[in-house]
Amino acid sequence: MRMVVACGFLRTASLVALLLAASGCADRAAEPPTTPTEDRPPHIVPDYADVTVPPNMAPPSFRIDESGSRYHVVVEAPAGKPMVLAGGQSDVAIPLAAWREVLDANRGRSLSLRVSVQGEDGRWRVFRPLTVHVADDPIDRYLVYRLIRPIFNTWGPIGIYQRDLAGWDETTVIHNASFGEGCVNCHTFKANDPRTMMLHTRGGTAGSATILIRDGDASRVNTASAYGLTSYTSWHPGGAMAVCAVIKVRQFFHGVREETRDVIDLDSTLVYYLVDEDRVATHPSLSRRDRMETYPCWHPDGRWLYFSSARKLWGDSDQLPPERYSEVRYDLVRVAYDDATGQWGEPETVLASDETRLSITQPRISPDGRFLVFCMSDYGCFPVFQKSSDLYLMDLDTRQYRRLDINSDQSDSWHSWSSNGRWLVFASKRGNGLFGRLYICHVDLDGRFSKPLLVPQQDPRFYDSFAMTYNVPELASGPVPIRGNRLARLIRSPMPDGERLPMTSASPTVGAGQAEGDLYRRDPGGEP
Amino acid sequence: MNSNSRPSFPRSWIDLPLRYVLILGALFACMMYWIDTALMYHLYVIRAFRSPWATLDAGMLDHVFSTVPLSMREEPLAAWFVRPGGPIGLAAAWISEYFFIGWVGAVAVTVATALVCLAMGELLAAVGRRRNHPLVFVPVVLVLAMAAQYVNPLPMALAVLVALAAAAAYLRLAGRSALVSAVAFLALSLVVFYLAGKAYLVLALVAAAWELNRAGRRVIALLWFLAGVLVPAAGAHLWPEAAHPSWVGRWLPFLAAENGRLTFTLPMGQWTTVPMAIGFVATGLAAVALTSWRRAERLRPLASVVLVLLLAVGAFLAWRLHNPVQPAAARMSLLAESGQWDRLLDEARAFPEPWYAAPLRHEVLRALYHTGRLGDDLFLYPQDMEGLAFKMQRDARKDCAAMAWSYLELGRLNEAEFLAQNSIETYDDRPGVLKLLAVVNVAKGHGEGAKIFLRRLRRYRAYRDEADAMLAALDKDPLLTADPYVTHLRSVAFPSDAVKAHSRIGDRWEDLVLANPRNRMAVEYLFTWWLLSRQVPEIVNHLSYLDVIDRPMLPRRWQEAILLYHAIEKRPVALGRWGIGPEVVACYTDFLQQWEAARRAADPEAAMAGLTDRFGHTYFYYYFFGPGAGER
Repeated sequence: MRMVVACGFLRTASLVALLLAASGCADRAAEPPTTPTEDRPPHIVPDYADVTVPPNMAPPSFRIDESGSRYHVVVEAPAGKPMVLAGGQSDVAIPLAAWREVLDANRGRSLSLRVSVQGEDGRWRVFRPLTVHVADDPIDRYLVYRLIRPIFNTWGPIGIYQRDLAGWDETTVIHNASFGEGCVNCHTFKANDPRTMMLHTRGGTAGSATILIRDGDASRVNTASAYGLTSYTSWHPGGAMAVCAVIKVRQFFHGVREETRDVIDLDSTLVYYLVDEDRVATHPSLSRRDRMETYPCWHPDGRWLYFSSARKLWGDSDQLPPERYSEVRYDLVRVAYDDATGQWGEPETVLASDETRLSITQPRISPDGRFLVFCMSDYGCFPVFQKSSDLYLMDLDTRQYRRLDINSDQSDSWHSWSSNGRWLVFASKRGNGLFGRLYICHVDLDGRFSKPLLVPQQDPRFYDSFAMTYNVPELASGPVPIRGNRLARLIRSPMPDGERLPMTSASPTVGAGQAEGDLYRRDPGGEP
Repeated sequence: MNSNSRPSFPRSWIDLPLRYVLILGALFACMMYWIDTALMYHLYVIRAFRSPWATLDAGMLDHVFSTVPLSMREEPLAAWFVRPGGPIGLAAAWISEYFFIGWVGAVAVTVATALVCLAMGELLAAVGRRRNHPLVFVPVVLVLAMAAQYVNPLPMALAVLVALAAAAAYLRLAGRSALVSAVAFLALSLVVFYLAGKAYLVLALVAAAWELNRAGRRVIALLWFLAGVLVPAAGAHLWPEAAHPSWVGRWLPFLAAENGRLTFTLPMGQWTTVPMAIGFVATGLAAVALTSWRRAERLRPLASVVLVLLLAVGAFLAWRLHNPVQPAAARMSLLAESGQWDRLLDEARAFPEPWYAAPLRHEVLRALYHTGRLGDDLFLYPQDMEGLAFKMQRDARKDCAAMAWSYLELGRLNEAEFLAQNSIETYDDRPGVLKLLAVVNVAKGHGEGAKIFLRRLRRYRAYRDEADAMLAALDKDPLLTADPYVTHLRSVAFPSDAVKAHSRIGDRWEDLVLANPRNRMAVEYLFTWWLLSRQVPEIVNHLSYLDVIDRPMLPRRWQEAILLYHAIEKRPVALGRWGIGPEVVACYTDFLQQWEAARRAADPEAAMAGLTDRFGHTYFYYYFFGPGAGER
């Protein structure tokens, strides 16, 4: 066991040194009885009871939230010897190597954690065992995410980081200090492969930039259009095109609401970037003057682009916030695309906000094309600042959707799928209401989600005092292949061509036979 | 070398130990009684310790407010050991954590400086010079010059100590052969660069200067000079995250990061690096001079003069660079934090007007309110509208922590939270702001969110007990329902949401009064705003707001404002239960007479000065002569 003393230096040192990892190391004389004396499992923080862990992930370190003078944990598995961890501190950090052995031998099975706590009087309290399920499906090894302060108002520190989920290593992909402030956002991979990715920067002294990584090589490209700068992106499965949202995004603040911050798109549209041609274009199906399109998401078959679209309720795109900001609700829409001819179809409404009475955003489709997970919140396009935001699952075969039971009473958003479609990672403010943390769920073939697993940290108390918020988590099969200093140099380099590319496609307008702000025709359903 | 031929100070100079005692005793006295290391802790140390990245270049700490961590992730110990300068930075940070106990800081800085002086003595001994040469005491002046600016000198002192000790070791070893020199230099370079970061340059300079003076070793000297640049550059290359220009800039003395690019910069352009620049120049010069003396006997007296001049210039700089404003502001902030309002007001009376930046104005207003003196003693302190007229976006990058406390107590919890978070985004964690965020979150019912801030707060040793007490209280009662302060905050909290900035500044307080007429602080701030913005009719028209004021007479300055309105507008005022005291009327009459007399005086300036002395604390004077009066 890796029992960790409770504070500062000693705690960290104990993470390294004070490990009693093997059963033979445990103090036999101090072993508790095996029969439970308590009719409940122990309280542990984070709550890892009944979670499902990937078979290739680092162990979940936790703290036993029960008072005592000595702690004893036995990890029992169907295969292999029990792992006994004992010590005088309540922090439990399971050794990485031993954990890997247990997982390797027990894929698809369940582990039992038997926790006993000895009181000052020498009496042992033996709790009912906790269960941790080991999935058979591995998770992508890297998790790429953004860390940001709860308020981002003065171009303060912000960065994109990558965590090796097999261990504890976290490295910086890019930090805004390396290119003179500004925002860095929307890192997007093609099918979880970091060798093809895009990321954007906005504002700051280096100006705004789009960085394209293709086949492991990075370049700065010009995706600025007459409408503005690109942000949320989705790669076409073929890799020759990425659809991006161009958003006029603004932040404002609430005087009383529980969540102080709010974000609104005063206007938005979709454009597509043709990689080989190095050209930005749009199409009337993606861009209507009377509506705001955002959050593009390609279906894995490359024939359908899903996105969120809302009627624009204001004429003045400069007023902040607009009078009717709290009435704007996004519909879930899709449009057909023919990769062979490059032709776009007519947009269809998949799920209307009039029906749900909620705003539908951030659609993300599973790699097998069967499930679509999206957010619904009371209004608007930025669910992370909506306490009401929850995750929903739509079966694209049946078009039935349901609220997932992995949600909390706080904002749940920014979800993404693993490359094998068996894991979903998302950001949630559960527990504290202020700071986003990342959770992982296993998803079975029938779309059942396991209890959310807080991404483990080496220090069980890491999240207790971590005052940054996690968002935009994306699972990746490997590390981002370009070093941060190279990315920073590219961002600081002059923009290609030195000017904004004109929109080369048709002028955005209202579709034929439609009135301003109308919904798209209703998608009859049936075809995924 | 013949020691008898060395230039020397008069033999009457006291012996080395006594010199140490006297000079370092003087340094200790300065640190104790001239520079308050407890304030240095609050101004500087807490930042350095909070962010291990900030002390990456332990030898070159500067730019208190420009340190940006490369990673948001916090690895308190590991981070110190994986990058150059980290170990010394950690040692300095660990010791500095105790600076909040003033004498501990003074002792630590004095001891570190003494060790640097001893290392200088060893360096001199290695080249055959006296250990009690005046050069030995140059670091004392450097340390004092840094401390006078309230920049913590301990990291620099420890880093330079390592570099000087290594340089002395090199000089002892380097006399043997070129191979031994190379091996010694390489080994010492790695050790010193890892331990002390940019202070490695001291080693490179001294070694190069030493080799320059030796026959047939010019190439080696050149290599060692280059190493001073190349080793840090190699370090930057080998450690990917260190490639960030700001860190490279910190390793190299004449480079700085600007907008993410490295640019050449003269260290003299940055006040806090002046002592370091002097340190480099002095050390390099001394080393070169010492090694050159063998050939240039005639230069020895000149070198001694240069050294004495250096000491004098350093002492002058220490005196000139002493910055009383920063520590004064920090002290006011601390007094406000601990609710010592009377003491704050007493000390603030002594401050000259230029010291009154917006945060201090806010602390003073808050102190006046809490002591019940806001309506009476407002103009005993410099006032203007800007102090209250904070604009969220325009002033976003200003330090708004003091204003956040005002907003919190007024009942604007979300705005207080925004201002505090804004402060953290711009200036990183500071204990006062963390405490405020904890209180805001408790008041909003976010006990778990509050705990995160409290656990951060307890990392600061000076605040640990306070944070622990509040954490324990939250464990017992997550909403702190029995806490009178939190209960009060909830009782005055603004009830309805709003998302737009107030079109009129006064509305930010008037809305609170309308929502809760018992919000006395909002009433007093609203009236203060009307006073400062000279909206006298508003005061007269809203006397009904004053029902919450629990005193027999209106505050004196408000009476003056009402009288002024009556005098100017020639309209009756319905005072209700309030009245205007005869002494107020008499004061106004006297003011008008004195003003008239001043206008007719032979020396109007002197007469106006007299008017200021006599009536400067009245609203009459502020109304006609205060900031912004000319615009009316």
